[in-house]
Amino acid sequence: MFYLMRVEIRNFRGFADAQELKFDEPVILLSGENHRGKSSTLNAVEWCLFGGTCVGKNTGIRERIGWEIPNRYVPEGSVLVEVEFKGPDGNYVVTRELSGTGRRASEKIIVQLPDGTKLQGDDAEHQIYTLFHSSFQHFMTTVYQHQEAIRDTLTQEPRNRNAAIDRLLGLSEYKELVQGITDAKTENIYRAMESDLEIFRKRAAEDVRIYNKEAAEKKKEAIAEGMTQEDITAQGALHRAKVVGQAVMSLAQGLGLSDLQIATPRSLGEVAKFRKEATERIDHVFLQSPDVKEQQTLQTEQGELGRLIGEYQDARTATARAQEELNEFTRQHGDETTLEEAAKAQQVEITKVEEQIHKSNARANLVREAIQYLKELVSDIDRRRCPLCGADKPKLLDQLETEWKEKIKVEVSALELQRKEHQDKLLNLESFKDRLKKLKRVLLEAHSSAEECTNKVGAILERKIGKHDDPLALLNAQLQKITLKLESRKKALEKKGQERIAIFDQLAKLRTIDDILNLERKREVVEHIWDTKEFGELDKLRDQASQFAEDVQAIKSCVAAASRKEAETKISAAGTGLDKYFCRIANHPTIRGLVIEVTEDSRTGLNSYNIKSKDGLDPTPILSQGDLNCLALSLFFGLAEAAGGTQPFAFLMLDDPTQSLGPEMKQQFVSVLEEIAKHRQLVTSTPDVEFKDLLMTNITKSKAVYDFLDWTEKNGPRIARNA
Amino acid sequence: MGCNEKVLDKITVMEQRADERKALWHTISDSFKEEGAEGVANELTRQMREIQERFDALLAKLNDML
Repeated sequence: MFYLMRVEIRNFRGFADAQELKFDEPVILLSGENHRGKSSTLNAVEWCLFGGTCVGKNTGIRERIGWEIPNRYVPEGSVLVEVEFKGPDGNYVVTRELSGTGRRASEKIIVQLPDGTKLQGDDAEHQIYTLFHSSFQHFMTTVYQHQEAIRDTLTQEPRNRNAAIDRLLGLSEYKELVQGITDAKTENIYRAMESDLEIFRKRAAEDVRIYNKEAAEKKKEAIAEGMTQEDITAQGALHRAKVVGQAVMSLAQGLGLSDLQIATPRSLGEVAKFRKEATERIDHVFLQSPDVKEQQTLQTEQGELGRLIGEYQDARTATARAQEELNEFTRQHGDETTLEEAAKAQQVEITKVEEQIHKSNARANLVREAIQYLKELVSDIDRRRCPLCGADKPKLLDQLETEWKEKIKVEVSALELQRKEHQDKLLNLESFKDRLKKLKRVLLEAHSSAEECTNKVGAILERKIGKHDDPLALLNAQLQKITLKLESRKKALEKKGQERIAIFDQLAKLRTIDDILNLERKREVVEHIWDTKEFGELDKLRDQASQFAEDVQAIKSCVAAASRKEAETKISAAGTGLDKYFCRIANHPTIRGLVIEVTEDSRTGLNSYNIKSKDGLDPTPILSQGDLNCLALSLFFGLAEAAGGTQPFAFLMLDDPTQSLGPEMKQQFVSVLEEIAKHRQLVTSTPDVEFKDLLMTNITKSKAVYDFLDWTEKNGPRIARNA
Repeated sequence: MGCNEKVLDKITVMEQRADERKALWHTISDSFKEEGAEGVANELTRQMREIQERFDALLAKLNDML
């Protein structure tokens, strides 16, 4: 068996500068507050032996996911852990070194044998395995009691406690495997495929039902319309298509198109195409036939004549209206010459009046000048005497001037009124002349339109229209001719139209038959879909998926069964120790012994642990946190004891084992350790001062105590050894 | 005897498809070694999805035939 002799640690997790701890006593105690490097010291031994295996999810330890090996505060330095073991044939030194980080990380392992030989790499790993015959899982369950193993056992939640006991038993790998297989959800995928297939089956059945129903309904309608069962067959459809083809060609010939050819279908699959082609051909034949074309030409001519008749009638009406208006105007106001003469007469009158006004004004000026002359030359005395009668007339001249002015004013005003009257008359006459010109222009335009229409009539009738021709009568005669021709053409085409309708009727029947036969064909396809190659392959894939899901499930059962078997074996082996240690440490007043049974959790397939007291009752409702810790420690000791004979390691490492233990339990626990220390080296870390004192007082073997005093980023833990 | 061998023992004593299941177990075991539980889940899902994809393609073809 191998004893721990010495550990040297550099840059590992909380450690910085290299520190050496000698484990040269039967009992080693690592003491100090939390976060001082005690657990890292124990972890260093584990990492030195197992390297990367003790890191990550597969360890089953949550804390090991993303676990950092190098000290994050010393990024440059390489990690080194060196552990010296004392074996039966001498001392072995295992050195593990890690340099770089991430993908550049490189690990080096060296084992120095007692004779000084150094093995490296795979040889060194092989040597470790040869010496210790131990896996990380085995080491974890029988040598190194992790803090987390205790912590998780303390939970009252069955699933977490089951996982913790799995971990204590070293069965985390099984648990992870079962979890991975479960997470694949192969059963769900298979069920989804089954569900899709079921939907397909239902859809197919529904399609068959619908095709059947539609075909039956259409058939019933067809028979009601006079078709027979023989008609509604592939042969019947082909025969009908042939008849339709011949009818189309006959119609074409009848319409004057003798070169039309139409291919009749040779199989049912060609019927739809034939129907489409026949429909298009009938329309084409009809539109392109000479009779129809002539009918269209006559209809066009008929339309044009109608329009021209209307146009001609409008032109004639417009001419008559313009003439009438002109006549009426002339009758009221005279013709152009009359109006011109009247205007001239008015002009003469105006000139006369203007001359009289001019004369009156000249006479007025003369009188005014004479009075002015008298006023200036005649003496004041003479001015008061009338020159004719000699009577005294004061202000005679002023009176004369006023009277004269009044007389002239009246005379000129009367003349100006006369002039205004003549001017108004003249304006009226000018306006009549303009209106007359406009009426003549309108009449001219109406005549021009009528002339244009007459020319159009000549053009459409292809003849010259003379003065003595009545265009309207000629147009009506032509319209009558065309109407008669159209009547005759319509009668001729009516028969062809009936033939055409008869063909369309046949085509509609052919379509009904085609539809019915298609529905029946679709139904047959769906009914026989289960015999297709594709469905055969689908069925095989469904079986393959079922088989795969079944295989996966079977393997999951095997993993679970293997896990359960191993759990049973280990619990059975540890059973005596478990019971013994639990009774001693817990010293429970009512639980006189414990039994653990393992069963399969029907939902997850994982191990389920039932803890029972020896009287068969479930003790968990009355187990305290301390009791559960006792259970975890007892299980660990039981497993360690069970492995005793084959255990290569002569030491046990306990990390903070007294969580939740009361003073009495600690006392009992120390008494158990005293017993174990008789044949095992003990390495214990604890922040518990009471437990440390109990150990120091009650363990009779010699002890080495390392006090973890404090911790700094730069230097790591400060450790002092005390005797 | 490790976990791998113990599971293999259980598969070997099965009456049905022991060889196929052994092969599948090796695949599971290899995936677990490389990528843990997640690797196992991914590998099994991948294999099952492969079958499902072929199944879906054929089902789509058959649906078109309806």
